[in-house]
Amino acid sequence: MRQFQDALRRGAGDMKSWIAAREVELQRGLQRSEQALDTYRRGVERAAQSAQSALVSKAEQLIETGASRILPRPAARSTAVSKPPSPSTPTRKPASAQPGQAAQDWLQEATAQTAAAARGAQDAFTLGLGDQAYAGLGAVGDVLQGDDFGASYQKRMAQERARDAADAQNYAAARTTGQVLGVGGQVLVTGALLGPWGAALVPAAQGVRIGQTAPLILRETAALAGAGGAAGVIGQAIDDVAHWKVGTPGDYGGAIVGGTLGALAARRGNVARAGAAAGLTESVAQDTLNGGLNAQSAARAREAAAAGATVAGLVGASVAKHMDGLPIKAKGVMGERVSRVRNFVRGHKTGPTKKTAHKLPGGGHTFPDLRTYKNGLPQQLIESKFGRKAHLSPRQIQATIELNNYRVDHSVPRDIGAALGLPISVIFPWDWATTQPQLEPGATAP
Amino acid sequence: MRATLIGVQGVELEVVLAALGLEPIPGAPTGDWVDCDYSCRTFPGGWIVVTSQLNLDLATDLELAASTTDQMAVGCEMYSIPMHSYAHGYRNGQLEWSVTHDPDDEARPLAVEGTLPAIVAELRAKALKAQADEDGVDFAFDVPMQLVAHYTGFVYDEDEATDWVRLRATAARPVRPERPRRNLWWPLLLIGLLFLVLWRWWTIP
Repeated sequence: MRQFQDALRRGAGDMKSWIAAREVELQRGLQRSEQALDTYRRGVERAAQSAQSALVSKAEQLIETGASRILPRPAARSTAVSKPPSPSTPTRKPASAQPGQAAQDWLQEATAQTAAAARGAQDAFTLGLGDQAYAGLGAVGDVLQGDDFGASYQKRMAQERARDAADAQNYAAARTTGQVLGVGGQVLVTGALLGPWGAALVPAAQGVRIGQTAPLILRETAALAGAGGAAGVIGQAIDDVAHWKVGTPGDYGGAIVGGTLGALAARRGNVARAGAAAGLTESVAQDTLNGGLNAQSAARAREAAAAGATVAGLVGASVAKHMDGLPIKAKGVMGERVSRVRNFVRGHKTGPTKKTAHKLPGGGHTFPDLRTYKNGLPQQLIESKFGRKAHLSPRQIQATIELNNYRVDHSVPRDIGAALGLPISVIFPWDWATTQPQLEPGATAP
Repeated sequence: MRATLIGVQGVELEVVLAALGLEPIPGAPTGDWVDCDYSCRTFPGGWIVVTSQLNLDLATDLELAASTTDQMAVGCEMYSIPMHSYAHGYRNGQLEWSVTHDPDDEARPLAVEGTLPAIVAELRAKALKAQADEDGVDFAFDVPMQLVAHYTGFVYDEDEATDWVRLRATAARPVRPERPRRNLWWPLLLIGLLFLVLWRWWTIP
């Protein structure tokens, strides 16, 4: 029994020593693995560092080469900031004399200039509403975090204004360039929206005039211009009454110029564009006649154009849609009335409504809608047309070829829209929609 | 111009005129078909054609005229300013077919309904082909009038007859006054301007 117990003790001791030996071997193996891994990691890091430094060096060389070709030496530029820059506002940094650092400075400068230009473009494109939208969205996010909306909005608006002011101070050229581009984009988008896109959305604004339609004569063009000028005077008078003031001769002169040019622009058929032209011209002309253009003139003109286009476009499209949906008989009456107005402006008298046949030299008859007279003598045979897709019949085509005194008057619904939309846009006191301060009567520009 | 042409076959002139509430003007000379508010003339094949520039209404008057005969009655109405025209055909007092030209409906420049005679398809195909060949000329406008011409023999823009009888409305002719035109534009414009002026005056600080 004692022998057995001794043998058991020896066996247990052997097992412990064997386990201890295995543990030692395992630890050594782990240590070797860690060392190998560490060595590999260091190797990778060394390779990455060398690749990065090679890449950066090459990039710096390229940027420096490009910068030296485009811009003067960065060290020659001076800082424009007169007060210590705040962390939140973009400012210029002094240039470094080291070539690599100079390239990095140039890159930062270019980024800041681009950002300032983009902010300027955004402000101009959105009529300054972009900052408000951005601040509002940010404030909504702050509300979700538990902040007060009003305070957050004010704070964010103050930040936006500070950034705009800093841009104007530090990156004036870039911001102005961006604003010019923003205005250009605004004009393009608005033009497309009020032109082809708008026409595509409003079928009543479409319609091609018949090729044989008689063009406006000088007398009709003059009457159109006079009507536009008169609308401008009425609009200014209404504005005076609404504001209890007496407009200056410059106010009235500008209104006449704007209304006249708008009416002439309406001949092209797009009342929204005509409204924009009227608003822009009126604003510029009034500022010019009231003492000269000033810093706000461009912004005011832009807003006046936008408001004019909006009012004229909406009213014109609504009226055109209404006209396009008139019953057939009413369309006939409308077409004949337009012809009568043209005859009146041309100084011709219109005969009775009842139609009579007119024999054509080539055979057959045509039945003109109106006949005009001057000093009791017959003048013209009028074929009136009204509608977006009205065309001449074969017999009427024959009449245009065979008769010298056969006149085709084709009016489309958008003409009536323009006849009402443009005067309303000129008369309508839309200054509620503007954000730029209006000049007081008689005030001279700064 | 606006004109309505009604043709009725196989019935006495007096019957048609009585149905339409018309009578010849006593002592009036004859003339061409546009010389008077209403005119009528007989054509070969037993057709009577009644025309008017302003005062016939195709929808109601053709139905009245068609009710007087057990043969055909055709009619058309044209509005040359918006270039809209349409024609109806009756047999035994029942509407058989209709052809409508609406220039704004580009998908269907000539909409047809009912049991169409072969001539309708023929004229329609001819007009649409000509229209496709020559852009900017409305050949389809004439199809309703060509249909009336096909049946009655009256070609409205080639007729040179001067023996049209001048007619006038009798007391029996149903009065169909035009709905009074309500021109709302000026009142609306004035109200709008007044509102704007008052609003601006009210909001002046």
